[in-house]
Amino acid sequence: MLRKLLKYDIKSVVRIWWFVAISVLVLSLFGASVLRATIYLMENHSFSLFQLLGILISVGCIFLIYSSMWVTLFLTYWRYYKNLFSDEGYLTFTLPVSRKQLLLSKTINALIWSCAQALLLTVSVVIYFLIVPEGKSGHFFSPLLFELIGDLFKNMWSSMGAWLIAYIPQIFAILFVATLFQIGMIQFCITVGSVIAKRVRLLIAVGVYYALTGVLSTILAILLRCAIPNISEGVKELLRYASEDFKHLAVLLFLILFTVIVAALSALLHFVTLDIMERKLNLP
Amino acid sequence: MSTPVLTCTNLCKSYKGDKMVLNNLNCSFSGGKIVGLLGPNGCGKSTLIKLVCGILVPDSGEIFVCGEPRSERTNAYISYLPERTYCNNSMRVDELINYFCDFYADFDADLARKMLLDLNIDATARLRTLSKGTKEKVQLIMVMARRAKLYLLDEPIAGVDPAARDYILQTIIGSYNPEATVIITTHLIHDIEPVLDEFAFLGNDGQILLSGVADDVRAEHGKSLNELFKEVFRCYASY
Repeated sequence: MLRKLLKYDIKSVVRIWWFVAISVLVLSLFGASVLRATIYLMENHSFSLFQLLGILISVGCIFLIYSSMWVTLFLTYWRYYKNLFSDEGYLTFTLPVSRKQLLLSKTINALIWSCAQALLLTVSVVIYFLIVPEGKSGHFFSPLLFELIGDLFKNMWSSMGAWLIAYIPQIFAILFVATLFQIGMIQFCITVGSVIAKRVRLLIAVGVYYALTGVLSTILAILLRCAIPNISEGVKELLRYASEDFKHLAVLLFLILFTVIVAALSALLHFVTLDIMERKLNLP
Repeated sequence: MSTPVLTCTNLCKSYKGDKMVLNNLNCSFSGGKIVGLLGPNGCGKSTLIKLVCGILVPDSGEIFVCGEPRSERTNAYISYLPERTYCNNSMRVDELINYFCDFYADFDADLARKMLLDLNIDATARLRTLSKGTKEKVQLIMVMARRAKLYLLDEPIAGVDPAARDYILQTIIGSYNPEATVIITTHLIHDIEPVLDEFAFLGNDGQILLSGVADDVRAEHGKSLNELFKEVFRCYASY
């Protein structure tokens, strides 16, 4: 049943998202070409209205590409709200599937679209780096991005050595749990907003989101100001005479601990949301 | 004796800050009957149906569907028609048929297509392009095309024109699983009276006030169900 739920969740987003994806790719090609032409004009000619127009178009394209992230976010969570807490909920909650499966399907769906959006933005950045700088020895496309990535890895390898192989999956693990945490937070806020309010449910959800973010950032600020400097001083003292390998191991363990804490918080949000859906469901 | 299709014991439900809508409600419905769940506005008819479907959570009490405590498993036995349109408007009608096929093993897609044809509804049309009345007909078709054990129809004929009303009532009689129970809530008692086997009047105190066999009302009291309803709730209102 989870597969079927997921199929319909993905279908409902892809219906509009393919248009967003094509728009981003077209805007990337167009924006990068305009930027390259503008840079060429600026280097070889005196200032003209065309250059100003080129800059404006380039900035506009970058802004629109960046906005696609919000469109994807909106599509994903609008689906969550509509499917569960609007009139559609009368069908969704009477399907022979558990609430656990319903929420899991929405979470996987949101995760898929976050990854798809990240991939889309990466492709857009690659397009810009390929087109905007001038290519070498008569080639149209520039190898600059690949050179930069190569240099970055060379530098990291020289400073970290084989530890780099352990760091890279750890960084991806942090990105993964951070995305899960963000998804859990938004789903929790929409659920709370929909359960406690009869009207303006989404507005209440936004309010809950900002209140929760405020509380979390206050806790984080207190930790950063009070606890962390003292702990880091202690750790520095402990690691002063430690070998390089031991220092890398300590950093890696810290990153793993951070990943586990964020994963636990994400799981907590997920189960609280599930509990609200199971015990306090109150469709209009 | 066979297991009742639906049993509610000591069911209580209140809304935040409001009075008790259902107050220790006890009822039981056996299979093979069309039952009219009737009562004045706000007496808790829709609330009872939503509780059975799991859209609302009871304050206390128990609900059994086909002998099993209510859960997502019992949703497979229930075919529910709410009083509002619940379909994803961006879907086409045939996509909705596939959706029901995917989630309900007892859904008869051929029967659904036949009923769509009878009512001249284009299966390729997107739901957002259909009128409210047509959407309601599509929903009713989806609900009645299932071979469910319990049909819960909340105001099934309220939003449709009188011509379609007859077709809908015929659909209800003609297409439901004969071993199943159909529970219909409506204010249009006169229209549904001919199809009802049994009735239950739900009072404003959240309990069943009167229930019985529809034909017995006519035989014993010499009144139609509509007349009895008016008489009972006129007296009831004077308390």
